[in-house]
Amino acid sequence: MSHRTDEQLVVAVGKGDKGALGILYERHHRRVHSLCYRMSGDPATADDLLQETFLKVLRHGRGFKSKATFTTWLYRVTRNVCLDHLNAETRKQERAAELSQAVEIDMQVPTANPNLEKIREALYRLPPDKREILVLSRYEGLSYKEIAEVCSTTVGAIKVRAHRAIRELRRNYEELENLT
Amino acid sequence: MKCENVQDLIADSLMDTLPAEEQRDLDSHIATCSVCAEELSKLTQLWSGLAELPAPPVPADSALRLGKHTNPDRSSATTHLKKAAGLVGLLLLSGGYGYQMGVRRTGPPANSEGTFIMLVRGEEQNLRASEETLMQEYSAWANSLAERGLFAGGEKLTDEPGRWVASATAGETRSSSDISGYFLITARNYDEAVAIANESPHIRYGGSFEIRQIDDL
Repeated sequence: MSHRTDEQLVVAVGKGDKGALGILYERHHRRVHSLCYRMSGDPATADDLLQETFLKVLRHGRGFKSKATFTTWLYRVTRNVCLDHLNAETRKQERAAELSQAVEIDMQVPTANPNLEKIREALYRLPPDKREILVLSRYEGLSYKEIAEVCSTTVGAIKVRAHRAIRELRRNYEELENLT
Repeated sequence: MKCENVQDLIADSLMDTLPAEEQRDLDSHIATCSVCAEELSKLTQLWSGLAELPAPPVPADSALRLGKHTNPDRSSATTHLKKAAGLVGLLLLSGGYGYQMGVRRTGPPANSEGTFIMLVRGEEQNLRASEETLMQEYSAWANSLAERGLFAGGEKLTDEPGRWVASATAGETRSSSDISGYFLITARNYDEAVAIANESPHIRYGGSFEIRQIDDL
């Protein structure tokens, strides 16, 4: 068991200490995996994004600023990895749509509750920049201020995006209810 | 309080960010407005539902796999070369060989050695091997070079067009070539550099390099 803080460990990672990275992985990989799943909606993709995130931690550990908390920084790295992936997926789907090809999106871990299925569908219909606000708040318990730090923007901007996200979630859900 | 503002206040309330005073105002309004009370009920139901959505457990065998992706179909637009170069960099960073990505090795090379750049020209998608095979073999190749002190770095270039800079164009957006990445190696001469290149999975599976010696003036 290491007694070093996360911040001390990531500084060590920045100097190429692979062992320090392993300790950070053990401490935080569940949290990162959960966030990756909530953003992507697919367990296998979440596994890949988890690895990609820690790869970034190793490569960019030197960019960690000691005045930031490691957790906030890790959320930021994870969030950027997820958005890069989702944007690439969007481009891929747009290209497929241009070719009139159907693209299946895996949405795993089904529930037995039809209402929850609609809520999940409503969540994944949100664009990533709105989905991330709800995910960071609902599943990670972050405040607007903390989300703003993760997203490198202002509290005001996050608040506006959160309001729009809730409205759109509600609208998506109602559309799905009207289909049944 | 106007009803049209209530949805946003409910959102803030659900996210635990509504100041106490505004929460009291909201509660008072809800108590007297059936429309907004209904809105609160629906949003609370949605918010509670979100919390109930299951998340998969982390796989029991989950372990840190630096630079290795086991499912190529699910990986992002990352190319073989990017992963290979990334892996090489990670090996160098974490293996204590004294090198960094894209940086020539510390200390001068031996008198009889020179630094060679191996340019990759955007063909990594056409290599005739699975991504997993390539990654394993790149790893072995990189380890072998690093142990022999022959590796000085490597990077993939971004996929976006580069900038063409000349006195008349001032940063026009276009690629000057199809170069997609590079490796830096240390070798005594071109023959040895070619031999090193021939050891790589890149050549073994149908790729090619342009090798140029860096002028160590």
